[in-house]
Order: sequence, then structure tokens, then C-alpha cells
Amino acid sequence: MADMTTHRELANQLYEAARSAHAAKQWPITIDAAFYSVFHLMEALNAVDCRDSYNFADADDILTNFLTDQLGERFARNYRYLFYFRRGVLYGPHFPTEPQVTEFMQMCEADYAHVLSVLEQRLRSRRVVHGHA
Amino acid sequence: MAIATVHRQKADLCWKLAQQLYAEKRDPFLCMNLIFYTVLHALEEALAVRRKHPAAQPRGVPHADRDVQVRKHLVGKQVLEPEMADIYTELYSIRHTFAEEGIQDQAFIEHYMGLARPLIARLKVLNQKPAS
Repeated sequence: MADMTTHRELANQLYEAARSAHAAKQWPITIDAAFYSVFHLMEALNAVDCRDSYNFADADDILTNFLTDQLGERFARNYRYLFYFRRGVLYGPHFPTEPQVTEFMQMCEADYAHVLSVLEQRLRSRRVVHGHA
Repeated sequence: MAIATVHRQKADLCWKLAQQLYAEKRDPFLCMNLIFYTVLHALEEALAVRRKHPAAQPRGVPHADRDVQVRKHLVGKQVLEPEMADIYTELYSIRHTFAEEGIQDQAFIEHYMGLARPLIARLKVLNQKPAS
């Protein structure tokens, strides 16, 4: 529930933190930071259309109803994998293996890059529209 | 749901990492989360040994459910002081992971750590004792 710039800045900070933590083999930080980096970039994309998630269930509804059109079904599946994996290892009974953490990180990196490219495209097209107005 | 020993392992791991980030004055958002995960796992350890785990909400996390269980089964049974439960309420009330109040800064994390420390210390003592 913030403006686009704040979500984007936080996402970037978290993405860098996830990479550092992954190199240091600190899985709780890696998983938390990597997941939230993707989440806040999605929120940045939502903010472009004046939308906010008030909780994670709300975020999933917005993903289903709006963001999947822009980001694709594969992204939506990935996001749900990331969401439940994070919940299981940070709140639940599971301890991730190193290969699982690496796979999680790789998925987050790919998803982060994907959302960022869609966000930048949206911002470019918005500038063009505003430029012609 | 995790068993008590897993909650203890996760509380210890998260607390170690929280203190590391705090000492290095970096990543306040993640430090806040690690402090909170420490508290929730220590509380759930205390609840788990009494067979009072909070129920998981679909697609969410049961912070308020945990609060109810803590007040009913720990405060109500006089194994935890109400002011300690109030700290937990405050910790999840001000933990704005959706950037509701912008990005957390160093002043915020110092306040958050200051709030959490007495509760974490109290829960460590509580969890050393066998459940009655």
C-alpha cells in the first residue's frame, strides 16, 4: 500500500539482499527477501493502475483478475509456488535443502526480471500516451 | 504445523540472523521480519507443547489467531504476563510488510528490536520450563 516508486525501491533493495544472503547461505533471509522482492515489484505494477493489495489473499485475487493478463499464466503459477514455499519454510515445519533454495532463488530472479520488463514497458507506454496528450 | 522442537530451531536461527542484521545496521525490512519470526516461533513453541497451535488461515498467516491462543492459553493460564502478550500484538500491528508506511528505516528497527527483546527473553525462560 504505497506508491509505485516506493514499491520499486523496496523491491530492488530486497532483490540485492536476497542475492547477498544466497551467497552467504542464509536461507531464511534469501527466501524472505527474494519472495518479497517479486511481491513488491508486482505491487509496483499494481500501483501504476492505482491498485493495492491489503493482504496476501487480496494480492492473489488481483493476480488472478488483473496481473495474469499482463504477466502470463506461467508467472502466476510461479508466484503461487514461491508464496507457499516461503510460508512452508518460514512459518511451517519444513527446512529447505540447498538445491531447493537455489531453485527458489532462480525462479525469483527470473520472475523479478519478467515483472521489471513489463513494468518498464508500462511506464514507457504511459510516457508516450502522456507525451501525446 | 511444526512441532515444538522445530519452532525452537527456527526461533534460534531467526534470532541469530536478526541480531546479525541489526548489528550490521542493514536491511531493516528483513531484520524486522526475522525478529517477528523469532517471536512467533517462540510463542508457537509455548503453544505447541500445550497442544494449542493456531489454525492456519487459507492463503494467509494466523497472526491474530496466534494472539487469541496466546491470551487464552498462556496469559489465561498465568504462564505469560498480559504485558508480554501486548508486545506481541504491537509487533504484528506495526510490522508493515506491504510498505503501508514506506520503507522501514534504522530508527524504526531500533524501536522494533527494543520492543521485541524483553518478550524474546521472557519466552526463552518460559520455553525452558516444562509445560504444566
